[in-house]
Amino acid sequence: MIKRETRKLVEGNLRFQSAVFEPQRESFEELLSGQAPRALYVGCSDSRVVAEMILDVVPGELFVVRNIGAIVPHAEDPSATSLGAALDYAINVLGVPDIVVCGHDLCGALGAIVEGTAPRGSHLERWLRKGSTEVEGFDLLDHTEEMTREQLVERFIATQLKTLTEYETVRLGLEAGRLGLHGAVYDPRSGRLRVAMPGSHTFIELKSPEQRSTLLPVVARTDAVSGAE
Amino acid sequence: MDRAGLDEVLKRPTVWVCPGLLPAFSVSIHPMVAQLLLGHSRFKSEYFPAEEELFARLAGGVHEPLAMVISCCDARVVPDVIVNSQPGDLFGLRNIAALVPKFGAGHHRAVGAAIEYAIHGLKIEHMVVCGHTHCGGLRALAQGPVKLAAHMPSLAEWLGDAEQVLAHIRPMLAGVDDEELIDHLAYESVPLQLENLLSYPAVTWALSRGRLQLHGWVYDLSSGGLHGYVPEDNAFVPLDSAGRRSIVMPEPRLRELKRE
Repeated sequence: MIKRETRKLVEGNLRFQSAVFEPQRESFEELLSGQAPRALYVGCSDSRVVAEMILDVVPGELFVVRNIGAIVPHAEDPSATSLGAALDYAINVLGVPDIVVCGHDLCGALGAIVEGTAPRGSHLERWLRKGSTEVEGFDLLDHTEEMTREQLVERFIATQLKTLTEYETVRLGLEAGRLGLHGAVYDPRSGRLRVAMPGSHTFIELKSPEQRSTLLPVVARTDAVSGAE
Repeated sequence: MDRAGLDEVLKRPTVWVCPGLLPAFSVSIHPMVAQLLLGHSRFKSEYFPAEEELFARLAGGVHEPLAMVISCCDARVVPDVIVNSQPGDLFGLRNIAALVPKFGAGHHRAVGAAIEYAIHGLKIEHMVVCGHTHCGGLRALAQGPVKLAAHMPSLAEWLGDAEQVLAHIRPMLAGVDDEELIDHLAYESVPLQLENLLSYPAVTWALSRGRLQLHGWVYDLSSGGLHGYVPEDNAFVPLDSAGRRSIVMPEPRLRELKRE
């Protein structure tokens, strides 16, 4: 009766229990008293983009929202409640200091937005429309011809960052200087991450670990918003 | 940069002028994010090359996840870690308390879009709602969303959906201490979220054609184990390799749909 797929998952859990949980039981027990994640990560549901793996974090380090396309709906939209609740909880209850919005190359959702291929009237189509493509007079959809897919996803993520600032919780956090916004794009082909630079539309790829000691391109906390423009 | 090097950086003031490569940029490095980037460089240099074949296959456009997992934002509950899966295995939706708002509720759209894409786009055959013990979202619910409403209106509204969970267990509350209650909430919540899944046309469509199975799990933070919901008994059982009952059978309403 049990399907192969489900058995694989259940067996995976047993492996996790014996090979990961038991040997590190103390660390896992420390987590019982609560979580103090480093950041809130907003990313795509895509099974190939596993945040905790890409950033090599352990359970407890990353508070994660995943939806189709890593979309940040406009704050006043009814569908914003899901993300809004997570922002409330992460910022006000957990005091998370940073938000990372991470898109990825080869994203089917962005492809559907750009090509308008989602079935008309479907939830998917309506949801995809929540992903703002326009910020301050620049509409992504007007530039699909001359921009590469890589550039499109970068600008798309920059726009989602800008939309984040519509949420009151985020705005208050930014104004008080206790919140940083960061944009990133993951490339499933190379395993590399491109990170938004402050004050420009540029996303740059992280260099090798050796070079990284002199180059840690992180969006400046207070410049983050302008960096998203 | 190693851990010690990073620790040095972390001791510096947050505004750090980047020497060398990009003199034009004055970047501020935030300690938290610096650690994430350090983690990414480990992934890139160690894990990615080691699994080159897998990543190449995935980048080649193969997106055939084994299951869709609806789970909580909680940092301690990482589905891919819990079932020891690989990238490409789990299509993941994560929101506060792993809730499935009823179809048509307005804010159901994030969930609805993911479900439609999973069923019609990815042809996923297994959909798992995975709650967990020690859930802060459900704790906030038990403590009263009304209290939240003043300064966290979105959270209050979102948890308002889970009021049905609270209503469900309210009669049992007497004599149960707080922690016991919090842990119990997940076991009450998951079956109700499964029921809410049935309000989505894409779900009933796929169920009626035998193309989808629903599963309800609770992850136990104190043991690392999973419990699966068995509708016939309205109970949870530990999931084990024998797999006797590790698959959650469609509940009676679902079976009726299948006969249609």
